[in-house]
Amino acid sequence: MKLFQSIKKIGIVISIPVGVFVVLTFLTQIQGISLFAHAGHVQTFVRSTTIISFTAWALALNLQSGRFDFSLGSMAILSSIIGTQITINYGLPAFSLIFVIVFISGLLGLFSGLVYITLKLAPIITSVGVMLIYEALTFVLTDGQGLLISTQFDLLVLPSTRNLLIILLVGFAIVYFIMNHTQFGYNHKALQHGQEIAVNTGLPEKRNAILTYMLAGMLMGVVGFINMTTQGFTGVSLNFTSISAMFIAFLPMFIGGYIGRFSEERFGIFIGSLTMGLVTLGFVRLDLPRQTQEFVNALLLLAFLTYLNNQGRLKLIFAFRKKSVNHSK
Amino acid sequence: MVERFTNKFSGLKRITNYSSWFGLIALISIYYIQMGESITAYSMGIIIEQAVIVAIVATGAIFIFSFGQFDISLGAATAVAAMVSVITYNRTESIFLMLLASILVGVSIGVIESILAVLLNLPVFVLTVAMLSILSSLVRVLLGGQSSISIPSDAVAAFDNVPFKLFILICYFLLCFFIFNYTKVGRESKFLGANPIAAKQSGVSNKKITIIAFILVGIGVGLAGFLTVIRAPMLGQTTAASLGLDVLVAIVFGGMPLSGGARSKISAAVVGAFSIVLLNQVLLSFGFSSGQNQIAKAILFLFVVFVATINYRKKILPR
Amino acid sequence: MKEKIILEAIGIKKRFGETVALQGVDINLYRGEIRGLVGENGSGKSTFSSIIAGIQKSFKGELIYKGKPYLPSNMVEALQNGIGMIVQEKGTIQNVTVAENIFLGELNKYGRFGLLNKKELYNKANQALDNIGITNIRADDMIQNLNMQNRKLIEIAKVVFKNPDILVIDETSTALSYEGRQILYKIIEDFKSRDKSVVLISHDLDELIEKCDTLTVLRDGKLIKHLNKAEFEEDYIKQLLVGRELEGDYYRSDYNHEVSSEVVLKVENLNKENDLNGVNLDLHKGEILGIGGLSHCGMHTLGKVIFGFENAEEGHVSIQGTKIIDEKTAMKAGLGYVSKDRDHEALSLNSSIRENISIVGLDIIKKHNLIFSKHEKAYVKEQVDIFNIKAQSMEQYVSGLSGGNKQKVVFAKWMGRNSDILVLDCPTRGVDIGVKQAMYQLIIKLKNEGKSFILISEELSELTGLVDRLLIMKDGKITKEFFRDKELSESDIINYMI
Repeated sequence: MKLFQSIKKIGIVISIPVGVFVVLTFLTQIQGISLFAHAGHVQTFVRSTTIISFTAWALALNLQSGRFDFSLGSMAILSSIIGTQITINYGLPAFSLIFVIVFISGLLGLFSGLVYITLKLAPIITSVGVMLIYEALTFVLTDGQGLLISTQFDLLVLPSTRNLLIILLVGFAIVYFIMNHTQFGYNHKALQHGQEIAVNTGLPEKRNAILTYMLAGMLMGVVGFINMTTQGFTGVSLNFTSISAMFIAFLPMFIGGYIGRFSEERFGIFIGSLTMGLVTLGFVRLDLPRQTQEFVNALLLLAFLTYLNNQGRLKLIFAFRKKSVNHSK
Repeated sequence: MVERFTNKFSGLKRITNYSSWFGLIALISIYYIQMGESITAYSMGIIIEQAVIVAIVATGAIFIFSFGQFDISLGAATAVAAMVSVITYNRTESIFLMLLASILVGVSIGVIESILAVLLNLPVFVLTVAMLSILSSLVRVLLGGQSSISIPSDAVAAFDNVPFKLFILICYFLLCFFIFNYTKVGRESKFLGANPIAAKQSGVSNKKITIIAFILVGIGVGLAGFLTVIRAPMLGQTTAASLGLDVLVAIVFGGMPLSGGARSKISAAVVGAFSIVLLNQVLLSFGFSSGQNQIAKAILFLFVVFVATINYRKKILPR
Repeated sequence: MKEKIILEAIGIKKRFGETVALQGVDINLYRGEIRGLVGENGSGKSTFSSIIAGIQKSFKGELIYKGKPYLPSNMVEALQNGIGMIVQEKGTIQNVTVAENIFLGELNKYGRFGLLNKKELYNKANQALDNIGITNIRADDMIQNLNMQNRKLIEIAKVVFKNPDILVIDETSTALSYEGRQILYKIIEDFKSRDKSVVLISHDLDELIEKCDTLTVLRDGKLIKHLNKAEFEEDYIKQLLVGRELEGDYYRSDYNHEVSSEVVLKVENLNKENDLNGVNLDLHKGEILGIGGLSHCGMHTLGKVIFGFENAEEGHVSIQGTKIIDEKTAMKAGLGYVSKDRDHEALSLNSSIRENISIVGLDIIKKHNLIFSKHEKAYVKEQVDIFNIKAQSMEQYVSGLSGGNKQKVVFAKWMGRNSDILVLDCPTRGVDIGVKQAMYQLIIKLKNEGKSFILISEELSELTGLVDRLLIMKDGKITKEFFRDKELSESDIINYMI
C-alpha cells in the first residue's frame, strides 16, 4: 500500500512535465521538426527553466505568506544594471558579475523589507511604491537609455548551458536547505500558517520578513544576471512594465504548490518551472509571436488556477457521479 | 482584542477626511507660485484635459476598490479601447461609431474579467495581473508592427475642447455617484469591502457586485479611451502608459482607503485626479525627468497611504 | 495551604486605544493554589492573564514574581521563567508538525548555527506527549490532521512539558470533551500536589466552584472581590459578576412545550463530509427548537447549511416548499442567521451601526429602487430604539460597542426586516449576564408573537431554560430528542452528547 502510494505520488509529480513534453513533441512533429534539434534549443530550455525557477521561488517566498511583492521584476532589472556597471567600471573579473548582482539585489530586497516593516502597510501597497522607485531608478541611472554590454564578450559568454545548470542546481540546493533545515525556514513556515500565534509566542516576525525579502531579492538578482548576460542589454522600465517579469512564474508557482502536497514544495516549483521551460522552448520551435506566447501563458495560468480553486467543487461533482452510478446499480 | 478608536481620534479623523482637499489646495498653490504669470487659459485647459481622463477611469475604479479589490490593468485597457476606436474611425469615418466601439471594448474587457473571476472562482486581483499582460500584448497586435496608428486630427477637432470633456466627466461622475450612494449595489459594495463574510451572511452577492462594478469601470475606460484619441490622435506603444499608475495614485491622494469598506467615497477620484495632474505639472516645472517624476509619485503615494492609515496599526505585520 | 506568595500583581492597568481593559488590579497568587478568575466578557480576566503570560507587553503597574520584578517580552520568555499559559483561541499552527508546535519559538535549542536537529526535536516532543498520557498523537503528525480537542491537548502538552510554576488556563475546558477535561483536571491536581499554582479562567461557574481554592471576581477591568472556598455560592457570584441583583425571570417561567402543528422549516436528510450525517428535523411555528452537543458535533455546520451559507452534499432545507440554496433565498423565505462568530461573520466591525442594520433591510428601505438617507435613518432609528442599543449615535462604528450591544445590533438587523425564523448560533456567547437575560426575554417575547427559532448552543442551562424541544447531536447525527420539562436535568442530556 505504501509502495503504491509513493508510486502514485511520483506519478503525479512527473505526469505534468511528461504530459507537456508529449504534447509539444506531437505538435512539433506535425510541423516536421523536433523539439530539441540542436544545442541551442537545449540552452534555451535550460535558460528559461532557470529563470522561471528562480522567479517562482522568489515569488512563492512572500506570496505564500500572504504578501504580494510587486517589486520582484524591478529588483532583477535594477540589480543587473547596477551590478554590471560596478563590475565593468571597477574591472572586476567576469565570473564575479553574478555575485555582485546578487549582492546588490539582496540589498534591494533588504530595502523592500525595511519599507514594509517600517511603514507597516499592506505589502501590496509598499511593494507598488518600492517597485515604482526601482523602475524609476533604472531610468534615472541610465538617463533613460538602459544598459548595453554587447562589447563585453567575457560577460556575454557566462550564461552557457553548463553554467546555467550549475546555477540552477546550486540555487535549488540552497533554497531547499534554507527552507527545510534552518530555523529561518521553520519560523517562516510557522509565521506563514499561524501569524498571530507565532508572534505571540515570540517568533521574530520582523526579522523573518526582512530576511524573506532579502532572499527573494537575491533570487531575483540571479534572474537579472541571466537576462543581462543573455541579451547583452537591459532596457529601462517605467509604469508597471517590470511586473511582467514575474508573470511567467505564477503558473509554475501554483503547480509547485500543488505538487508540493506530494513532495517538497521548492522541488515542486522546480518541476513546474521545468514544464514552463518546455512550453517556452515549444513557443520558440513553433515560431509563435510574442503576443501569442503571452496570451497562451495567461490562458494556461487561468486554466490551472481554475482547477486549483475549484478542486473541491470538481471533487464534489465526481463524487456525485460515483454515487449516482452506485444508485443505479 | 479588537483595537478601538473613538472620541479621541474623531477630531483627527475629521481632519483626515478633508486632508485630500488640503492636498489639492496645496498643490494648486505650489503650481501657482511656480508658474505665476505663465498660467494661461491654455495651460489650464491642458490640466483639465489630462485630469478628466484620469478622473473618469478613477471614478469607475472606486467601485472595484470599494469592495477591497485591486485592478492594475486599467491603463492597458484604456490603451486598447483607444486603439480600437482609432481603427473603427479609420474604417467607418464615424465619430459616433468610434465612441461606441471604445465603450464596447471597455465594457467587454470588464465583462470578460468579471465573468471569468465569478465563473472560475478566481481572485479578481490575479485576474487583473493576467489581464495586464494580455492587454499589453493586444496593444502590440493592434499596432500591427507599426510604431503608431492615427486618425486625421481635424476629424475630432470639434470635440477637442474643455467644455465637452468636462461634460463627459460630469455625466459619468453623476452616474457613478448616484449608483454608489443611492442604490443597493453601492451600499452593498461598501459593505462587501468592509467584511466579505458578514456581507455574504447578509445576502450580498459578491458575484453580482463584481460584475456590475467591472461593467461600470468598463464604461469609464471606454470614455477615457475615446477622450485619449481626441486629445492626441496619434497612438503608439506608450499611449496611456502611465494612466494605470496615475489612477492608483489619484485614488489614494483623493482619500480613498485602498482596502475599501465604509470609508470609501467616490469624490476621491476627482479630487485625486486633479491632484495628480497638478503634481505632474509641478514636477515637470521643476525639470524632473519621467524617472524622477515616478520616484516622487511613489514616495508621495507611500507617504499618503501611511498617514491615512496611521490609526490602524496592529501588533502583527499586515498582509 | 502554605501562605507563600509566588506572584504579586500591583495596580495593573491596561488600555487598548480608548478602551480601558484593566484599571488597577491587585492580585496575589500563592504557591499550591488553584485560583479561579471569573468575570463577564470585557471584565479584563483574559487581559490580565495574557499580561502575566507575556502576550501583552505595554501596561502600567508592577509584577513581582518570586520576589523579583518581572516583565516577560513574549510567551516563550514567560514560559522559560516558569509561567505558562494555555490560550483561549486556537494556539496551534496548521501545516507544521506537532513537534514544531510544541517547540515553537525555541527551535534554536535543537541545532546550531541556525540549523536543525530533527531527530532530537521529535524525541523531545514525543516525551512531552507521553508526559500527560497522550499516546495516540506523535511528534511527526501534522496539526491539520488532528481534531480540535487533540490540538488543544498539544498546547497543554507543550506548556506542561516546561514544568512551569504557574499554569494559566484560559477557557480551555469548553474546547475539550469529557476525556480531555479529565486529562486537564488531572494536571491541575498534580500541579497543586507539587505546590505549584494554577490560574483557571472559565465561564462555567460549576467548574470553578468545584475545582478552585479561591476565586477572583473582575468586572469592567476592576477587581470586585476575592472569595475563599467557604464563600462560593452560585447566586452570590452571579450577583458580583453583574454588579446588581437580577430582577424578573432569567429563563422561561413556563414548562409548556405545546406548539403549533404548522411546520415552517423542514430539513431533510442533510449530509456533509465530516460534519453532517443524515440530519432531519421540522421546525414549527412559534417553536424554540434547541440543538445541543459538543462543539464539534456538527451543530454549527447545521446552522450554516440551514441558512444556505454552506452547502450540503446531499439533502435539502425548505421553507414552505421553497428550497434554500443560498443566503438570498433563505432571506426571501424569512430566515435570519446569527453567527457564532459575531465579530468576524455577523457584523462588519469597521462599519457603522446604521450600515450593519440597514444592509439586510435595503429592500424595505428603498423607494423606487433608490435608497435615501432619510428613509434609511428612520428605519435604523426604529431598531436602535426597540433594542435599546447604547451608542453615541447610529454612525458609531460597531467595533466600539460592548459584546452585548454588538449582539443587539445583530438581532436588530434581522428583526428590522421582520424575519419569521431565526437561526441563532450561540447567541449569548461573550455577553454579560444582564444582557443575556434581556436577550432571553426578547426571544421568549418574539416566540409568543409567532416567530420560530433554532437555538444552537453549547450551554446546556440556556437550552433547558428556553427551548420547547431539544435535539442532541453527536458525530453529525441527531441522537436524542427531549421535550420541555421541569424535570429535565443536564446530566441526562450529557450522556447523549459524549
